[in-house]
Amino acid sequence: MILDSRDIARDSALAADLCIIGAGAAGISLALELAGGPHEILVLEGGGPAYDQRSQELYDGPEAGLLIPPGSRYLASTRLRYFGGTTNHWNGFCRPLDREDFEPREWVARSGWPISLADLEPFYARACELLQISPFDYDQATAGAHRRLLDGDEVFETNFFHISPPTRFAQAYRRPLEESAKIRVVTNANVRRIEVDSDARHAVGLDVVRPDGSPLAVTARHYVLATGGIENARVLLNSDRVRENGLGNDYDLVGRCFMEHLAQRIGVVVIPNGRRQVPKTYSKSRVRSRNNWICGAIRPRAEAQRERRLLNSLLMVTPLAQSEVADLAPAVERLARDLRELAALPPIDTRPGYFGWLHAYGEQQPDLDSRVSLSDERDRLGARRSALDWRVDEVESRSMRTTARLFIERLGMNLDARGWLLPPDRPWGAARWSNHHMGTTRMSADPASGVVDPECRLHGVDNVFVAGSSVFATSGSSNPTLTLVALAVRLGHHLKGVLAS
Amino acid sequence: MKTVSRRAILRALAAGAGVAGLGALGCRGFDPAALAAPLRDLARNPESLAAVGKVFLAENPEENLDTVTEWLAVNLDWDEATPADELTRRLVERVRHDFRDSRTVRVDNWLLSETEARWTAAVALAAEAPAE
Repeated sequence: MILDSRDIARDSALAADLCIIGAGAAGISLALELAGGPHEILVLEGGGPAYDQRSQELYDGPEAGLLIPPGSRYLASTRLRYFGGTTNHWNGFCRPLDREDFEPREWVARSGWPISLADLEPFYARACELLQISPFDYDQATAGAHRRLLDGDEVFETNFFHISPPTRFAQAYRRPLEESAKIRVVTNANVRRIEVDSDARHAVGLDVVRPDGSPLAVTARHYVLATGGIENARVLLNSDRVRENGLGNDYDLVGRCFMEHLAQRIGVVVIPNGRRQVPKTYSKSRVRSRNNWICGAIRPRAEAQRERRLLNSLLMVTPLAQSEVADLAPAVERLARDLRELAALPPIDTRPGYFGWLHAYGEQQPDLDSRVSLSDERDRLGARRSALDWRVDEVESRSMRTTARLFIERLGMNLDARGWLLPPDRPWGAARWSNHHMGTTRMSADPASGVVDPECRLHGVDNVFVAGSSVFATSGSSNPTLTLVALAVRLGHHLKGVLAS
Repeated sequence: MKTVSRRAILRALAAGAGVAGLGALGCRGFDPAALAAPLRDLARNPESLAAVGKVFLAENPEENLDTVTEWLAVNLDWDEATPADELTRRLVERVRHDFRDSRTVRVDNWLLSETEARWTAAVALAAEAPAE
């Protein structure tokens, strides 16, 4: 059943076994996992059934950061506040995190999850179903027909993204949500804060208002916060009636370690014999492989990351018109061509080689000073706005540049290509964000180093859970949607037991 | 013209003469043209290589025909008796190893092997050298 809060009688009170706050990828995935059970599930969506500017503006807030130009409105423009959430405009790139992303790495501060990839793997399969992609070998098999750069290289390997249609959750799952006897979705239900008992160890209700500011009474046995990587922190920080610094924030970690995926057009490659393999395998335009749409990405192997103390990253190559390349590029291409011919490598035709942009997508090191906090300014519904201070560090630009340089050197070693690299004095040239918000309620075994435990329950609060990429302890380099859906499925599995007890 | 043998260059290097020492050796008779010519002959696209080489030289004004050919002679283990196909093999292998071992230089921010960068410089300088 899907309702609008404005159609609910003023004196009504909503009660459920579980209340999920947020109807985006995480919230809807979780609801669907619990749909067949005996428990009453309530899903609250702050926005309406479609985009609305007045609702979207509730996301606005002050923001700062080296890579956020003034006037960007990053907070309001990188996510969507209506039914289906940010899946209403995502691109569909799916890839799991890598095994090493979960492991402590002594060269990456605050790295390591309290769970491993093996713990999450069983749930990735269901996440693939929800994202309307078939089971898939992201490393090798399914894409076997596609030629790869640096095949068999000891430093780099090609992995593949699997491309979702992309699934718009509001459209794809409206019907099962409407038809479910156990699920009620209420739109235009804005959660300002979670109300807790006098010890702040147990949630007792929600402070919810309709778009006109009138209250809506909601209680549940358990609560799941699934409002996205920024809003999850905001709701917890705004839940300050008992504890001044918010809920689940005994160690002042809520909102900290905000991470993005750094995206940078970091160079140009010219590949004399690359006309066929590169566009087909690596182009963002997506290529067909059996029943899947895929695109290739190159990443440093785990051993190479360890040996060179690199953060995880992905490299992609996209077409570049020859007319766009700098003056020296054709000459460098002929130089590379000459070397290939001198080496008696397989002949190449006389047409100019492949020119491509080299893009790097990099992991961020968790940084306590990179954070979502609360502004003193309140939105029109009375909640304090988010304030973002997104920090990037020299360690990240250095890692991306080193990785790109190494990639060009490995191509050169095979006499495959040459590359142009962003000058060292422009470490962040053309860098931007990826609309991925992660880390603000990071997962940890120890309450002193994170916000949620390995089951995604708030440390110190017995009936509040968090879903979404805010629980990521580290970001890896993969787009987060597949993993956050897998985590939501895993949480659903866990909550079935919790609700039954 | 009498040329300095590969062994003499290597002896100088072993004695710690380094590149500066090689420059002195060049003054005593190393004939840069003797190596520049076969290097130029290897190029299928000498104009393109020269274009790259000119940028390298502009960005490294301390380099000249003597220094780049002497550097190449040492690092390609070349002397006048080295056949062209052997020079080709050594050049290609050295470029591969340069990239493998991160011995690379930026030329207008293109990442080139330090050997191929000097090869392009030699081709550029040979093209400029007055005919004898």
